[in-house]
Amino acid sequence: MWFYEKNLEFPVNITKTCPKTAQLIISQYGGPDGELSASMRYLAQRYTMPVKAVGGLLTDIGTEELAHMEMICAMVYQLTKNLTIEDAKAQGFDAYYIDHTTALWPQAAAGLPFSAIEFQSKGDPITDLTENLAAEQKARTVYDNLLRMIDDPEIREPLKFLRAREIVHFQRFGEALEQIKQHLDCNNYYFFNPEFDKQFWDNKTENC
Amino acid sequence: MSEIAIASVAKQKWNTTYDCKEGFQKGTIFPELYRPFFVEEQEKCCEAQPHSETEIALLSLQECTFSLIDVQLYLDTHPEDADALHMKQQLQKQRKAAMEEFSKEYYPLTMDCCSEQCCDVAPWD
Repeated sequence: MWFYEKNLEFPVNITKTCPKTAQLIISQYGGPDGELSASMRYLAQRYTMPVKAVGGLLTDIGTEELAHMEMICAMVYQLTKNLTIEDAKAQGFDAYYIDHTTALWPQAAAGLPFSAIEFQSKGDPITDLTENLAAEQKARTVYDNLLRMIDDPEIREPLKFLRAREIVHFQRFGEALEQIKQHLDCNNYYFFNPEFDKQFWDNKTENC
Repeated sequence: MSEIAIASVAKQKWNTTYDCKEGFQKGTIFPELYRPFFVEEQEKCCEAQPHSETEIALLSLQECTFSLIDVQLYLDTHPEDADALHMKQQLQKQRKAAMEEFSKEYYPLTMDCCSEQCCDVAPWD
């Protein structure tokens, strides 16, 4: 269950219209390494996680990613809310405008729609946590690229905040992977799939 | 610790933390996890500038909420860390008081908030 708190995780106050920048930032809404993808990935993976604490971490990070999605949407919204037709034409926002006017729709910077094909829920904790480590790094690289390209401090502050979160989440997923490893035989972590071959799984740690 | 054929990340140990305000600006309460990109270093860390009275009131709530989020993620992988548990308890009290105060003065933030104010505001405006 979720409840809404009417509040952004970090403030977004963008005063200038800039559809060009909106088109770049929208990738972190609906793009391959975006916040929606991150949230759906973690919230999907958690059910079958054999260590309940790791399921709890996936819930907490998946929930924070929803708040990040809201920040990204707020940024896109503020960058386009006073859009004129001239702005849209001059800054390459005309194609988006035709289909969505100035509404939010999850797509990548290059226009590809959001798709679950961009993330995995594989049913193996080592595989899923390794995917999550990579996912956090991919998102960090997107924020690096955005920070190279965008000068306006009003836009950079929330982007820097979001980038910093990717590093913290990476650390937590790494620690979660270590927790899973403690339940397994360190001479062969790949002897069985803990999410499926339950006959081999026991809850004791320190198997090495 | 370092092993072949599998990813490894060293477990973080509890150390000093930033206060709520600084942690919020940096995006983490943990100094050892604050790793800025080189292009960030060319600018000074400018604080989030609140634009209205409501935003000023909201900022202190956002700051302590954020510290609570960050310490909770730490506790997810360090469930028995006494320092982190202590910090969480302090932050829970702080956040509860800030939520009540904000709801009374401005508008309800969640369905649990008691408030007589109406709430035709959107957080993205």
